Amino acid sequence: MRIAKRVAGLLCAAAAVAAAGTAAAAEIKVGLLSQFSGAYTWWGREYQRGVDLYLAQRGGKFGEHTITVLSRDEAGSNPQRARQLSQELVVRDKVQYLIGGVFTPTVLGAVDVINQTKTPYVILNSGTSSVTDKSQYYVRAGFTQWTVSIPLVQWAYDQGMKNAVVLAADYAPGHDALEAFGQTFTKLGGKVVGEIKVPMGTTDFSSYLQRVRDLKPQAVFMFMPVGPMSAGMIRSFKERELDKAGITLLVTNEAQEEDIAPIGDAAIGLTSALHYSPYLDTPLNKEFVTAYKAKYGKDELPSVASVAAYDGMRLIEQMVRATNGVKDGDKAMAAIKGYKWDSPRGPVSIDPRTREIVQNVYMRKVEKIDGKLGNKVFHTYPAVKDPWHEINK
Amino acid sequence: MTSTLATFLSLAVDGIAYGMTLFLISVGLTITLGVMRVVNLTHSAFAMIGGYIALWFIQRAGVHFFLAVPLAVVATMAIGALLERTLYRWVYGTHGLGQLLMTIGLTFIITAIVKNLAGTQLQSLPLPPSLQGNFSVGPLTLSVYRAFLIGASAVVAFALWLGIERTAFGARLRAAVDNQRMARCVGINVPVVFSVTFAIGCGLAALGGALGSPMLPLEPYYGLKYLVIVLIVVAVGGLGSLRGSLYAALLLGLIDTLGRYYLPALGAFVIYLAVLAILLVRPRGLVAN
Repeated sequence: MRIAKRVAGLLCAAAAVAAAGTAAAAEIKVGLLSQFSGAYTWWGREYQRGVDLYLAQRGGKFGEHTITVLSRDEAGSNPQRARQLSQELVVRDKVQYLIGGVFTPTVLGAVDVINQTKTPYVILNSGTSSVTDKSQYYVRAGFTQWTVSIPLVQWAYDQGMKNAVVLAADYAPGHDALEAFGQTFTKLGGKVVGEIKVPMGTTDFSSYLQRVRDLKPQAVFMFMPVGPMSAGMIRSFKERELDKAGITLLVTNEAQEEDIAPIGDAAIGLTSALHYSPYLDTPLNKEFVTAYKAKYGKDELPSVASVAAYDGMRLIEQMVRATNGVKDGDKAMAAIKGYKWDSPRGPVSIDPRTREIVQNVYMRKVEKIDGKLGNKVFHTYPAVKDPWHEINK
Repeated sequence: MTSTLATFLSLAVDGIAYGMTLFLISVGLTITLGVMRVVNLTHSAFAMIGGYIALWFIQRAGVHFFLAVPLAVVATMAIGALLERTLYRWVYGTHGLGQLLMTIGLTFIITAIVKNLAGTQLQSLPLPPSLQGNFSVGPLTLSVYRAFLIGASAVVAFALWLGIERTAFGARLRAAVDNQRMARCVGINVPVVFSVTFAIGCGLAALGGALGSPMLPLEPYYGLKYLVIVLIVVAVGGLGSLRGSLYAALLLGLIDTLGRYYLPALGAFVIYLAVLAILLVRPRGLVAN
């Protein structure tokens, strides 16, 4: 009887200790900003999948802290709305971290909010290098246009392509790409024989491709918003048989599996530089692709967006662990500067100076893999730092 | 010199092919807007429906391209006729603003349905091998597909002209357009004539949507995206004039294609300048009634 009482007492004490332990464990909220309606819902879906997959693999917890993700719809390239959403998330919903952003303007929309509240923001997509300079609470888990453009140009030059046309959609990121391609190619010793700006919303590319044909370059470096324009351009390039005229089309993120499927076999042979391919032949990536397919369907493939979200959550985990769940933006940011890990996309780290992700850039070629069009990696540029920040030190 | 000429000519062919596609898509609207006095902002959505049905036939049912396109045209005509007999009854009965709101609302509904059925990604009809590739005429390199497009639309335009000018139905339509009351008095069933015309307009749009999909790719927002250019063709051509919309479509297709090549700095803006100039000189369109 007495023993029973003592056992009961011990149990109570144990329960009390356990309770004290859980009291320190907090519910940590993360605000996910993406596109869940309109023409860019693909981004919303991919971000959500990357985030959910990472959380599922961690049992919904980082250490003892439960993670709750609040998803909000940026609804197009609308900086005012992004500002309002981030403010509501941080002030009212008390999120400790923001993750996402699809367009440079929407990422920048949150800049005042994160500066004033010292809230870390993990950028998943914005090709503009200078964004991370606008706040010390930005960290990039995606890529910059410069990071993928420079290796592409380098590769072309190494293949003996000495004159090129740069072709881009006529909008701010397109102008950045023109500059990145052109400057690098000229510096290497190549000659830019033409610069073509294609207005946004163009669907018939015949005039622009006629220009390319008349300029007779060896290579065309192209940058377009992924979607109607890029697909139309790639298809027309093939239809007009510019490849047979000895012109090589080189792209960056326009060759993703999701986007080349509608182009069809015309996409075979398309060469691109990008920091990820779902067909990347590493054990970690194969594991990631298997997990992704198991969760979202056997015909689905992860993309740069889901990988960015997956890695972004890893950064948040690192920050949560470093701050033990207590909001401290400066401590959290300090914890990820120089942080290194193995991602499905290869070994990556955060540059402590710029908060840019340092990652491999892969040269890929579109092939038929198991009956589907996919990007096969044939060359790797290891540990590429954002070149824009390196040039503009 | 020859290469500059070759460039000009191949651009001209591209421009004509683009113009012919615009003609097919917009000719139906010329009739509904100009003749039946209905502001039908759903019109370009019918082109999208036609494109998607053709795509469905090719991809899911394994039908050959040359059969899938006519099937899609017929199916779109049926959908058009059904909507005309049901929803459009209300549209006819209301004033201009009401028509505009109802038809743009219908476009939103169609957009949402297509988005759910087909997804947001961009699609275009896979061309059969016989339409792929290029052929050379002297120094010119022309795409087989564009040549086919020009040929096919020229045949359709000619058939349309024959149908309106040389058949009894065409005569009834012209009569109904010129004077509805008189046409009724002589025993023409005007609502039926208009229904059939509406369906034919939808069918032509479907043809343009399906054949033109390599140039104007299919997506759920198609109906809204190309509405402006379609309205421009109708306005520049002159309301209700088939000939006018043919001229306008060809002219705008050429101006757009050539302008993008020769005036790259102005880019896509050339076409709007052209529209402004044309409408300043001829406010009622190229061929005014």
